[in-house]
Amino acid sequence: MKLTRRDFIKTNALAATAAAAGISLPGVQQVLAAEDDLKIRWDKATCRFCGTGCSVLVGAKDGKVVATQGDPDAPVNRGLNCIKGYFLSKIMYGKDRLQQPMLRKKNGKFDKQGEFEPVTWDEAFTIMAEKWKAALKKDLETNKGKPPEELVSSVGMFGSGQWTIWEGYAASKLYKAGFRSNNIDPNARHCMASAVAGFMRTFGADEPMGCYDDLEHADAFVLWGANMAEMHPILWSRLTDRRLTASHVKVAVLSTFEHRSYELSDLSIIFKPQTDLAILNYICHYIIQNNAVNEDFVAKHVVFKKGATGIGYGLRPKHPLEQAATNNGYPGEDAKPKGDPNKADPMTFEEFKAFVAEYTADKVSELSGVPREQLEELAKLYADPKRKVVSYWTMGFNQHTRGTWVNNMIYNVHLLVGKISEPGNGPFSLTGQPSACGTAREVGTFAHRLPADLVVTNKDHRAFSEKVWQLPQGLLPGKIGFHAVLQSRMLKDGKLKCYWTSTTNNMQAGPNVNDEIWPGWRNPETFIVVSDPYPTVSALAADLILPSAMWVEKEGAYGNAERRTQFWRQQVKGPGQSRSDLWQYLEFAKRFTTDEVWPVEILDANPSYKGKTLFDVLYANTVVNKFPKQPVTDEAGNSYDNDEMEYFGFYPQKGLFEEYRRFSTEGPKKGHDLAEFDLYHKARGLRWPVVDGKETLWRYREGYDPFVEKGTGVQFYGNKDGKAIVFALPYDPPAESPDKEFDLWLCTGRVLEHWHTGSMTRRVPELYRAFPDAVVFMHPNDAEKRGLRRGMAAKISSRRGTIVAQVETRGRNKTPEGLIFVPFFDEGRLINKLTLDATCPISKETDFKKCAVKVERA
Amino acid sequence: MTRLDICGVLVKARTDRLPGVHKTLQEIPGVEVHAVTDQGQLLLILEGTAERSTVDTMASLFDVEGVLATSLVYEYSDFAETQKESAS
Repeated sequence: MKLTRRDFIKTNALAATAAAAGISLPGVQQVLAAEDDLKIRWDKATCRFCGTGCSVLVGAKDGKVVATQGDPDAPVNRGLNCIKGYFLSKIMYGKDRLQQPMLRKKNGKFDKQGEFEPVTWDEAFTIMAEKWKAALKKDLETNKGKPPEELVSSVGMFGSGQWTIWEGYAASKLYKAGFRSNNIDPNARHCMASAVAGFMRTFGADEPMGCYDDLEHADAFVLWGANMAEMHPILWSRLTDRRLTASHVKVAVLSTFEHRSYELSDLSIIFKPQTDLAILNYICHYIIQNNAVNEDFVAKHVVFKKGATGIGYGLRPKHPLEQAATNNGYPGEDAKPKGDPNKADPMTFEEFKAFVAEYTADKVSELSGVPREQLEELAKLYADPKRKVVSYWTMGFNQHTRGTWVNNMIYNVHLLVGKISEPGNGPFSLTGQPSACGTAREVGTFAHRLPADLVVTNKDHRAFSEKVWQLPQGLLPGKIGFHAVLQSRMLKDGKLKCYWTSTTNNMQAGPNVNDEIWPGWRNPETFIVVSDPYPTVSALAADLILPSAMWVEKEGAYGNAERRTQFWRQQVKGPGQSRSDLWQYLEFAKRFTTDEVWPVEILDANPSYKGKTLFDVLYANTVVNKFPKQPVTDEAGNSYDNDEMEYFGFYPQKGLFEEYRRFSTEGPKKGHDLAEFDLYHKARGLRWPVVDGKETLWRYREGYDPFVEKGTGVQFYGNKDGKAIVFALPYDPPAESPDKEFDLWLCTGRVLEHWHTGSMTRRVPELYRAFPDAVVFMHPNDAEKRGLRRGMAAKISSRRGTIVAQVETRGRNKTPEGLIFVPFFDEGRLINKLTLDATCPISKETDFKKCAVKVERA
Repeated sequence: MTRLDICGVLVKARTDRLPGVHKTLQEIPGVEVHAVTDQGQLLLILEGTAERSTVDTMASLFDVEGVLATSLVYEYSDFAETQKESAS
């Protein structure tokens, strides 16, 4: 029997693999009868890991996920998964899975210095509500008589692009409307906030115009600070297919060190950190000098602006770099903001031409260390009118103290040659989390945003949100809340008192852990709650841990990097007392009445809200609770659980989504339309804007995008004049560079086998062996100079902290002399003790790619 | 008590290095190469053993020179079920 089953499974594996490859193997067919014997129920779900948004078939048996396979019907991954897919069936079954709430206690009571003890959900929410109410009461006093634009808050939340769409939406409502706090931010701030700010500045609307279909249409691919071979393997596989089947296709890879994507590259460029800014200006200069500007496109669809400079580095105000900055927006000695880093003034094409003229091949070659010939070859790819080009980037651009600029500058290049918004031509920002786009960006869980590209600082946007949410006028706060890095600083400074994090692990992933994050979490004035499936570094640093149900233990929805919204059904139950984040937010909302959290003036003017709980006004509002309890089934007649629907007595996922959808179809910013809830359970995802059930592949282009007016050809309708902006921005040095003592660059990042901080992938023992500990990748000459050899332990230090790691001088990452690379997945080697919390002053995203360190023998 | 740990994997390799890649992959314990195409695709079945799981093997495929991409198509593993079966 055992042998037979093994053979069945092997035959199925072979048949599925052959089908995905388009190879016909005589005699091999997927043995469906055998699957029936195994009694596996298969259903589609979205991968839990990166932002590619692969669809997987999840095989459940006896209430447990036992198998997965790439979804052959999925347009994104066409039956393939990457190595991380191996862990999908296992991430829920780590031995140390949290199964009940845990509170720090001493003598039977909460004590910040106490040890974790199991408590009931009731006790957990009781202590939480007590802390939140005390903070909110003080906030009410502080905010007395203040207009929405001046409201402050001492409660906060940190979530992520791993929140399902309705969880992020429910959290955002709870904070922004319920607690009147904009101190909610996703860890996407660490990941693609610069992409968001770049899109908003250039196009007036977030997210890429193109889609993955570009992979089969482009004649050249340029990777700017993206190691797609390891971080986006499925897209890389599609790119590889294109390169191998069309001999004219070129691949250019740029980074500060050589990685696995260089294996395929035709043009391999290594540049000195930060000089991507100069290289991009050189390309613009080359395009203009060689008469390669698409003049018709530029005349019709582009305007030019000069961006503010002297914008600082997002450090604490007393840092010398901030004191020297002239436009960082911080309060100066006169208490007034010093300029505005986001400001830009109109300029002409001729002025832009003069601005980039100084970025000559010679100058940029010297600055960047890239040979002139390589720079020219790269510029030619963009300048050649016959060649369609797609540019891809991830953290190399986004985690950058000039992250917004560098995003703007890649758009400059594409706009000058008109290579945008059409098949095979376009700039494309890849994302690292499964719903960085769907939740963090589209739902707007940032400290400055509301759903569908609306912002808290715009009174009309707030008024529209209040209308959809059926809230009293003037309730929503209009001041931008604390972003990720500021949240850490405010916890340390005692201005943020109550803090709830979920689907994230900031004690490991955030910058400058030693100086900024740890002191805030252990500050006696703060109360920290972490919701997580596992005892992460963050959970263990908290005061209260709440056990979360994860991935297919709940009904979910994610939105991927190409604007594709995808749903899945609950496949299995979470273990023990674990509960979904959605359950946690709705249930916690029952603990508060409006009288406790909203000002008396608003309640007096709107007496019907008096005495109601936040659950009543935010979720039991006739819209969110509109859809009654119903059976969940698929087309084959299989039935599924929905634990939240069972508990609350209505279909909260559907109600929340249908309310949220109104922002996309009725909101002030057009072109965000989402389809009806039920359609997504049937489709393999749909790319918004979805109009009359039809998705949009290329935005802003007539014939593809229904929002572009007839006869215009192209319309960047996110901006009122329908035009995109080319920004004149200079090269600026980094916040911290190597010097005599700290003589090496440190770049941090990810590896193929682990996802981000490893909180899920390192729970699986097999994987742990595959890449057990983080190593320090360094050049053999740098190692030798320090008396080190491959395999030896090295001490790596910055001005902020020290870790020890094993030296690796070979392997996948080949660093140039002067630069080391350390991954951040290893909780035993917290590389973020060393990193600097310098951010892009516009996007507030940390630069994890550049700081100064030294390496010695341990 | 044998654990079932089986993966179907598709490897893409540089066509100019295909024979070398094919040979190297075949020599890795737990790897069966079932098909090779002129376009550089190799169709593999991986089977885990007590000493080496499929994921270890898959990670090592990626490090073979000439391999451009590795994709997982099908994965099955059920330790608990095998235990139950052995006991019965």
